[in-house]
Order: sequence, then C-alpha cells, then structure tokens
Amino acid sequence: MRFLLVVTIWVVIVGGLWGYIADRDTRRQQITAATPMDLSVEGRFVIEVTPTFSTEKDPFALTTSDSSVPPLTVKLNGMYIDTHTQEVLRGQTLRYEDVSGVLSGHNEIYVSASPPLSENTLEHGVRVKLYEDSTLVVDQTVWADQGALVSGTISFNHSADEEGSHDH
Amino acid sequence: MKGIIYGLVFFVSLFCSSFAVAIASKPIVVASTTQIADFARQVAGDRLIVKCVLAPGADPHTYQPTPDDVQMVLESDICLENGLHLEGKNWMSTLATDAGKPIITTTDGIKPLAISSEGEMVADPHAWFSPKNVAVYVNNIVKGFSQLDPDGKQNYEARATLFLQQLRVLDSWVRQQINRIPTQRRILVTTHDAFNYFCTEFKLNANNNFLSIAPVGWSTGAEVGGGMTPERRRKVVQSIKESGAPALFVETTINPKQIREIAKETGVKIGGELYSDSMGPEGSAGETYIGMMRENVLLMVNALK
Repeated sequence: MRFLLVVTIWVVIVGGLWGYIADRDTRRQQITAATPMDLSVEGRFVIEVTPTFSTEKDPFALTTSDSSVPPLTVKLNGMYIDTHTQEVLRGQTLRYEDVSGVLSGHNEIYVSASPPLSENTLEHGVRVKLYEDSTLVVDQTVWADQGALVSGTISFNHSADEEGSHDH
Repeated sequence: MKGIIYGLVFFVSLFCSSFAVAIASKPIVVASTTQIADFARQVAGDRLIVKCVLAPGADPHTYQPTPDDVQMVLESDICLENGLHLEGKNWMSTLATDAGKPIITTTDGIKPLAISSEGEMVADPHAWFSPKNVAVYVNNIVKGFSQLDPDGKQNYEARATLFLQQLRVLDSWVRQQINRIPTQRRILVTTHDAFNYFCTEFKLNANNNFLSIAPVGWSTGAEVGGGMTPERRRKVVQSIKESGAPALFVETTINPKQIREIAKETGVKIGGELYSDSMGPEGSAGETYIGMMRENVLLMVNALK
C-alpha cells in the first residue's frame, strides 16, 4: 500500500513537471512559428559601399564551410546583398541597384570587410549610403582600428508615410 | 511518512543520476599540449570535456607518457596533437593509435619553416608562435569537433569565429608593440630555438634571416641545460656576445640556472622568462594562448627597446 502511495506521488510530481515543460515549449514554438507580417516597403532602393582601404583575404577567417570567405560582405536585414569575392580597391564604390528587403520600421545594414593586416596602425572604415528614389536616406561609416575586421551594423527607421524621417 | 521520505530520496537520486549521466555523456577530447588544449576549449565551450596530457611547464620534446595518460586517452573520444614531431618520438599519435582513437594533427595545412637540426633540415614544430598559424590550428579543430559531434557544428563555428577575431587583433597588437623596439635592437636570443615563426612573422633577428637565435652549443632536448662541457660553454658565451643582443631570454620549460650564470659571464642582462613550449599554470597571466603571447611580447619590448 505504501509502495503504491510512493509510486503515485512520484508519478504525480514527475508527470506534472513533464506536462508543464511540454506545455511551455509548445507555447514557445507557437510564438516563434507565428507568420511575420509582410512589412516590405515599395520603392527603388540603392546601396553604395565604399571602403577606405583595399580589401584582402582574411587569414583569420573560418574556413570550414564549402565556400571561400569573401573579403567584403553586405547584408540588409539579415539577407545577403553581396559577398564580394574579388578584392575591392581603396575608395572604390560598389553600387547595388534595386535592392529589395527594406522594411517599414526598424532596418539594419550589416557590413563586414577585411582590411590589410599590414595597415594595422591606420583606422579603417566602410562608408555605407542608402538611396530611396535618388534621395539619400542613410550615410554612415563603420570604423575599426588596430587591424580588426571592419564589421558593424547601421540601423535606420523607415516610415512609409513620412518621407525622409530616418534615424541617422 | 516513511514512504514519503523514501519517495523523496528516490526522486532526488533520480535527478542526481540523470545529471551525472549528462556530464559523463559529454565527449572527451585529449590534447597533447597546453596550447592546443586552450584552442580546443575556445571552440568546445562546455559541450565537450577538454583534457591535456602535458601539465603547464612540461616539455613536449622530452615527455614520457605515464600509465595515467594511457588511461586518459583510452577514455577519450578524440585526440589532438601538434604534429611536426613536437611530441618527441610522436608520443601523442602513439597513445591515440594504441587506444584506437581518432587523432587530429592540428598543424595540417601550415607551411612549416625548415630548420637545421643535427645536420639535417627538419620542419619547425613551434608553429603557434604565429597567430596566423593558430587560425589553421583552430580551423582543423573545428573540423574535427564537427565530425565528432555534427549537432554542435554551428556553435563550434560561432565560438571559433570569435576566437579568430581575437587572434587577428592579437596579431595586430603584437606588430604595434614590436614596432616600439628600434629595428637594430630587435634581436631575440632565447635558450632554445622555438621562436622562428615569431621572428619570421614579426620581423626580429634580421641578421639571422628572421629566424630564432639560440646560443651555439645550447639546445633543448636530451640535455635541457645539462651535459654542458667547458668547450660548449665557451661557444655559448662567444655566441651571445657576437649576437649583439641587448638581453637574453630564458624559457619557462627549461631550467634557467645555467643560462643565468652564462648571462652573468657575458654581461648581457636576462630579459625574463618567456612562455614557449608550454603555457603558464592556472591563475597565471600566461594560462591562455593570448595571455602567453601578450606577456612574452611585453617582456621582449621592455628588455629590448
């Protein structure tokens, strides 16, 4: 009888805990699986990227993936705009026309580039511009020094109603 | 009441045993040297248990594995070695092969420097003194761990990416610090020629083709400071004087007593103890690779500038 009581208590405690965890995980999955609203903004967007240095292959790159590591990467809201596999020269502007993926509200442009290790005493930067229908809406530079990768995120807000109300 | 107590004991012991099983089920990695163990920990995080055969301060060239090492490798899932014959008589690969364990040679893909040893050219195994080479070590470790534990691949790569960026900054910082030493004073004389990659990468010892300088007649290996004859001692003293070095550096894996006496005889100051074949003990500034490199460089700069 006592043994049955022990087993019953054990089943109630463990079963209750299991039920709670399963229920909590299901709720989390439902939240993450919720379909996001399509917030894409109509318009003609152009991104320009200009490094203050000539890019070079990063000797400290992770090389475990199949593709080679590009010396310059540009992403908009987490989506690749470009992984530039060729060397980009100092002052050379890369222009990406008809960029899609700008959202209403918060946006991010991520840029990463590998400057030459031999120029480690210099500060290096990558200037990023975003145009909407020929109007400059973002103009910022990501800086790095001491030989580090130039890597950073530029945030801006886009309001579909108010033209030109962007955070810089 | 008794039943409830028994139930609680049963419940608690169930949890404790499942926790113990979770720890025991983590794959075990055994690295030969302290440097490789550090690289492995940077990649593994808490997902794998990383153990090291060599204790801090031990010399990999002359190390003799113990029965405890054999047991450690037997219980492992993967082994890591430096290769290029750093591990004297290839003791790490012998341990792994005898135990039937996979082994990763972490220097695979590095272009080794050729050095003269006892009349023949051999590959210099001290490749970790170039942070760029350490990037190769790290990539090899990530590949090995990803094969061992494919579910952890993304995390291994993410951790490695952070460590590789730290290595890049370290490389740049070392260049800046070495630049504080006037070029004609960039002469690095150490008690054994472990610093070839360092001198090549950061441009020291221009008069020796940017290779390490160890006093003639002095070497690591069998004697480790012992077996010094009067003739060899005379050669060592002469060699140090001819090098024009502002300072002489000893290494943590080598008995410094004799070299201190020789330095006194030559009138060259001792620059300090460099970490070379082994990192520092736990709690010391040199307990990690980056710490070891940082402390070495600061000693060099302070003694040579």
